[in-house]
Amino acid sequence: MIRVVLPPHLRALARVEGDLELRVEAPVTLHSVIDAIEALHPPLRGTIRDRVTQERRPLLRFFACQEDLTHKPQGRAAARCRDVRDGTALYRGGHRRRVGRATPVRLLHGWPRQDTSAEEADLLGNR
Amino acid sequence: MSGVRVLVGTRKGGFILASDGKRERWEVSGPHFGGWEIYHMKGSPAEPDRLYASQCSDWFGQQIQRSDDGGETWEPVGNEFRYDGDAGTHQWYDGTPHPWEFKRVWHLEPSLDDPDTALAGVEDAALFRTTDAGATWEELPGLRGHGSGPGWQPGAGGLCLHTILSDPGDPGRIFTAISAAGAFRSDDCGTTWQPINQGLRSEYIPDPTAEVGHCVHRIAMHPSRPSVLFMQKHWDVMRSDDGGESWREISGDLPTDFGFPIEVHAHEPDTVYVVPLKSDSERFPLEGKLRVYRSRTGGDEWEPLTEGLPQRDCYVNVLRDAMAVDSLDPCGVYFGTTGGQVYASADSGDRWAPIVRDLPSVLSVEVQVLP
Repeated sequence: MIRVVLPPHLRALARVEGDLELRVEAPVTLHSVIDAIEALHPPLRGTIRDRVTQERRPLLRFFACQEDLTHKPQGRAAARCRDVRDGTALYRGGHRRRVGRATPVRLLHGWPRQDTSAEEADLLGNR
Repeated sequence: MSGVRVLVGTRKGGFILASDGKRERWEVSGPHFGGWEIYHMKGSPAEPDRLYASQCSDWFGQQIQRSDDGGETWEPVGNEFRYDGDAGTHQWYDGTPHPWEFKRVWHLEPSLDDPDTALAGVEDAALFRTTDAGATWEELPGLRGHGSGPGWQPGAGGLCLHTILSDPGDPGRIFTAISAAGAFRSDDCGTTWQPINQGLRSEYIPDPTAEVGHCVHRIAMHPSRPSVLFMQKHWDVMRSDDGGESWREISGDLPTDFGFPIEVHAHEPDTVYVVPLKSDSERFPLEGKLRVYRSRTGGDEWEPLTEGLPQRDCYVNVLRDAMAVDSLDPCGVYFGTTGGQVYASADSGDRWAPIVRDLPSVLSVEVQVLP
C-alpha cells in the first residue's frame, strides 16, 4: 500500500481529505505512483507532470525516505528506505525559488504497512 | 427585475459579485479556487448559468472548471491542450527559435448559441475549441499554421492569445489578437486565418508596419456593428471600419495612448472606453489619477471620467481582460485593478463606486445580465 500526502491545492482539486492510499503494482516507481494517482483522481492529471511531455512540473520536488528523488528518472525504483517503520517513505515537496524560502508540500508514498512484500521492497531498493 | 453577475478572476482565486438591476448593493462570493490564478471566467450567452473558468498555477499547471449553476458548484473538466501535429517553433525574446510550449489559458469565449462549445486562447499563442462542454479541447491549427507563426515573438506577458471575438451576424467570422503578433481574422469558423494589421505602426519593432509583430493589447466590437473594431495597442488606440482590413489611429486628445483594456458601450456603438496609463515602462495612471476615458464619437475626442475614482496617489494597473459592460439601460461599466478594487458605474461611466476594494490583483472582469 502506498500512502500519498497531497498538498492542499491538490487535495482540494481532487476533493479528498487526508492522505491517499494506493495499491500500486510492482515495480513501484514514481511514474507508476503518479499513474495511480491520476487514475484514481482524474482532475489531478496534468498537475504533477505535464500532460503532453510527462515531465515533472518544474516547481515540484519529490522526496522519499529522506531522499530527494526530484531529479531521478520517473521510471526508476521509487525509493530506498532504510527504515520502513518510519512511516512516510516518499513525499513530494516544492518551493518557489524566487521566494527563497522552502515551503515543503508533502506528497507521496508511504511504506507504513507491515505486510509489504519482499518483492515490493526489493523493487523499491529496500533490501 | 434583472440581476447582474460580475465574474472576477484574480491572482488568488475567482470571485462572483451579484446585484439586482439597480447595481447598488452587491453580494460577494469567493474565493473560488483560492490560491490559484483565475485568468478568466465567462458565462455562456446561450445558457447563463453555464460558466467556464481558467484556473492555473505555476506549481500545478492548467485546469478548466465548469459550473452549471451559475458558480454555486464547479467541476474540473478537460485540461489537455495538445498542439496539433509538430508544434514547431516561434521566436524567443532574443530572436532565436523557441519550441511552442503550452503554459496557460488566457481567455475563454463561449459560443454565442451553444453552451457546450467554447474557444480558448492560450499561451504560447494558439486557439483551441471544445464542443463537449470542456471535456476535450482541440486546436484550430490554421491560426498558427497560416505562415507567420514561426515569426511570432512574445510580449512582456508571454506569447498569449488574449482576445477572441465572434461576429454575431456571421457565425464563420472570428477575430483574435495575440501579444505580440497582432490581430487575425478567420471567415470560415477558424479553419483558415489572415493577419489584419494594415495601418498599425509599432516603432519598437524593426519594421514598424510589418504584417505581424504588433503588440495588440485588446480588441472590442459592438455586436450590432461587428465590422467596426476598436483596438488598444501597446501604444495607440485604433479603429477599423472594415472588419480589420485597415486601421486608423483614434488616440486623438488622450493624455497618453498606452493602456490595456478597451470596451464599447452596450447601446451606443460609437461610445468607447479606455484606461490610459503613463507609459509602458511605468504602467500606472498618469499623475496618480485613475481616469477612465470615454469617447462618444468613435474615437479622437475623449473625456476623462473621474467621479468616484481615486484622483491622487493611485498607481494601479487595469489589465486587458479586466473591463466589461452590461446590457442594462443605462449601461453598466466595470473594471478591476491590480490593487484588488472592482469599480462599477451604473450610468455609462459618469459616476463610479467600488464594489469591492481588497481582492487579490484582478486579472479579468466579465459581466452577465440575468433574467
